[in-house]
Amino acid sequence: MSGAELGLTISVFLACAVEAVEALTIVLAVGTTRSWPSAMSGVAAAAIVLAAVVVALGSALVSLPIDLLRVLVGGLLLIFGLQWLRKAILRSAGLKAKHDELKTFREEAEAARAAGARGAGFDVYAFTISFKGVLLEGLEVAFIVLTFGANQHRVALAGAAAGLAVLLVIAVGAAARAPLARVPENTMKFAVGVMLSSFGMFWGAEGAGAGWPGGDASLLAIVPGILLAALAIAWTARRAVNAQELVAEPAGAPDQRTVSA
Amino acid sequence: MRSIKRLLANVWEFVVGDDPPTALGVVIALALTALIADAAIAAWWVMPPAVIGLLALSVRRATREEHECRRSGSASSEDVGYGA
Repeated sequence: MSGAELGLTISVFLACAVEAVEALTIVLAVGTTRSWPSAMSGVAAAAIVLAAVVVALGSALVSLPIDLLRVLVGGLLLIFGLQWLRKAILRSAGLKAKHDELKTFREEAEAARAAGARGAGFDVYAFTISFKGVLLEGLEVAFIVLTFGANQHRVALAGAAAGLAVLLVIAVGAAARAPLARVPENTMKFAVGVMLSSFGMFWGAEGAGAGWPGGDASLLAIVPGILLAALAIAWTARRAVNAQELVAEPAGAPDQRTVSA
Repeated sequence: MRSIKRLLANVWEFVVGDDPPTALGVVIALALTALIADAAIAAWWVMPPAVIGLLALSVRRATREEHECRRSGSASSEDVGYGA
């Protein structure tokens, strides 16, 4: 397995695992409070839609000229990667609430109970919420599978990594019979953000006509470089937030300063 | 017509998200790379500082917006919806 394929596998596996944890919470909530068969029907329907998206767009993408494909894929991965990194940094700095699976589970279960009594047959509410939850959480992963896989003509490998992550999350969730609250979601999202940004930058620049010194080996410098830069930005953001809080506390009044993160 | 507009809005929201300046910055950096490479000059050096700069600016913007939200007591714009 080449370095790029290893990067593909790790990125897709982590991205899929973290989104699967969030989808599992939603499915568990409606399954336990409403109807397991209807909730699982929603999961199956969403999985079919996601697979269809990957297969249909995958075959269209791999038919594009390689440079155009790399610019498109690189640009999209870079935009996604920077979004994932930004949100992970804001969460680590305390500026954005971290995902709390137990809280989400309680809220979803409460909403499911409040939705009213279900009939004897198929439960539309459980189906819809499961379908929507899995589809929305899975769409971004499907896109990552597509872009990473199409660029290296390894959509099947990307799909296998995603499938493995889903199976692992389902197995752990079934064993725990509860939301997976201890998964370090933010750290995983940070890692995915670093990988997407690094590979996106690498492929985007190549597609635009630039040649990296050392070719593929330059990824050995790009990935740690982006990681260190992201860690430095996260550290600066945390420091700025702490400074802001220290200034605001003694005054006991709303702080008028701006933060220079 | 309305459904096409909705579809386009969803695609925009999905790809660009809540940070259009960063997406625009990525497009500009890639275009600059292409322009320099087209002139037969080494262009690989454009992207690394551009990416790090875009991330730093994005975090700085979000930090300021979050503090504005907290000061005004309104809900955070970052905590809405699914996704990363």
